[in-house]
Amino acid sequence: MAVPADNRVRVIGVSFALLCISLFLTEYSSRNPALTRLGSAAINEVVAPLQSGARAVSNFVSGVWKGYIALWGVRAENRKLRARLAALERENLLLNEFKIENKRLRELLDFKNSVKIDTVTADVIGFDATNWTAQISVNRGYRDGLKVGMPVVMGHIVVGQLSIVGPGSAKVLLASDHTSGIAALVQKSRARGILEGSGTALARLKYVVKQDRVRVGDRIITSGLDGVFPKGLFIGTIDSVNRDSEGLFQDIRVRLALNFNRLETVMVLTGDISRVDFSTVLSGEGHE
Amino acid sequence: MSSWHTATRVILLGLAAIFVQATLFKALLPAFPAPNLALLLVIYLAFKSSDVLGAFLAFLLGLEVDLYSGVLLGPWAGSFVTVYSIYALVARRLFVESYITSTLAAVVATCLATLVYFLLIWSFLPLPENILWKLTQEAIVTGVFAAPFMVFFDRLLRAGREERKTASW
Repeated sequence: MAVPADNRVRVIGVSFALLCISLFLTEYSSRNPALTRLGSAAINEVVAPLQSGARAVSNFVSGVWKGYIALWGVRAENRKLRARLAALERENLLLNEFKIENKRLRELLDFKNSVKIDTVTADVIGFDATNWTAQISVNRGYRDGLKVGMPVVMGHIVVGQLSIVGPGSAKVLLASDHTSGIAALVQKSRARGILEGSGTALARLKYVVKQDRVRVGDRIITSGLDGVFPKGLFIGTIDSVNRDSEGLFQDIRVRLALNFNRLETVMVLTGDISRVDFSTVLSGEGHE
Repeated sequence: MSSWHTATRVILLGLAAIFVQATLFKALLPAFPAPNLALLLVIYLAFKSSDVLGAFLAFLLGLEVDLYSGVLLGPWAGSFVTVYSIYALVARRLFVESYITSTLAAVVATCLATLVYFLLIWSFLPLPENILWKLTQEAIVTGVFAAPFMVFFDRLLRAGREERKTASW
């Protein structure tokens, strides 16, 4: 399409003005996060019902996909047998889904029974629109008692914390997000630090002095000092330690225990976290 | 059809694009980065309209992404407007119906948009690690999906655009 010169000037002028407005908005919203939260909660409320529906559809599609793809070779051998096998496969798939769901719910129930704290179970209905922020959307909101800052777990493992809460949906900032920070503790040596996400499965444990003895494989748990997460929740294990880095502190990489891409159900701790210590109930198992 | 109708269509299509990339793509292909469909819509607008209204729509589409993410208000809006203005200027020199052009345009736009995004958030937030690797993946995936989605956007928005043209006569 031909763009006349005066139109070009107008487009550049308006774009520049809008870029300046964007910069102003970015600066303003960094000082006033309530504005972003309000707008985000509103837009998420619009999208959440669609996401819940789409989640169900995608679960169905992925179930059908998994069930049928394995059978293509069999069809070539015997169409009749394949039909029978497909029916059994579907049934098996369904049973497996029930089994997995049962296991997951049992874990959540065990967790609920093992600690005396109020919790709300929520289904994961969506992820972030861009690939640069590690967030998930869940189908519970302030109508269910959720508030910004509440910790979110899966069993005894840290998932993240609520960053935006709408009436019927909420966003969880995952522990892997590059803006996430969690007060953490090396379980064995009791060395304290801050676990910062990096946008990948490997987070960074910062501010652990070089004198502290930490080893690859050591377990990292929440220290409870940030006032967000109760003490003793499992975060991950140490993947690498570099004491040769400059400065006072060690360069420690932590492999997070959860694969956030596969989360389906999470639990929000809505009760008073200051009275809970998970160190006493921690099972010690990482989940994939 | 008035500009308001076109704008409303684009805004709703932007919401749908965000919904698809945040829900369906990430649920069905969790191991891959989702294509930036909202950005593809901005490229489409730049190629097809190249006017002031398009710049405003690119800004609003970016604002939708910002609002959905809920981190900061403005960086994606600024980044989409930048991509729009640059592409609107070069649109007449490109054969935009070509599969290769739209793929390359999407790859370059993803890199450009991400660069502007990080420049805008730099002083306010820490940057994630492995940016280059993740950006490469996202650019390729967005490039792959560019051509079919351009056709899809064209089908949905062409009627409105043609009516606008007729009305302006």
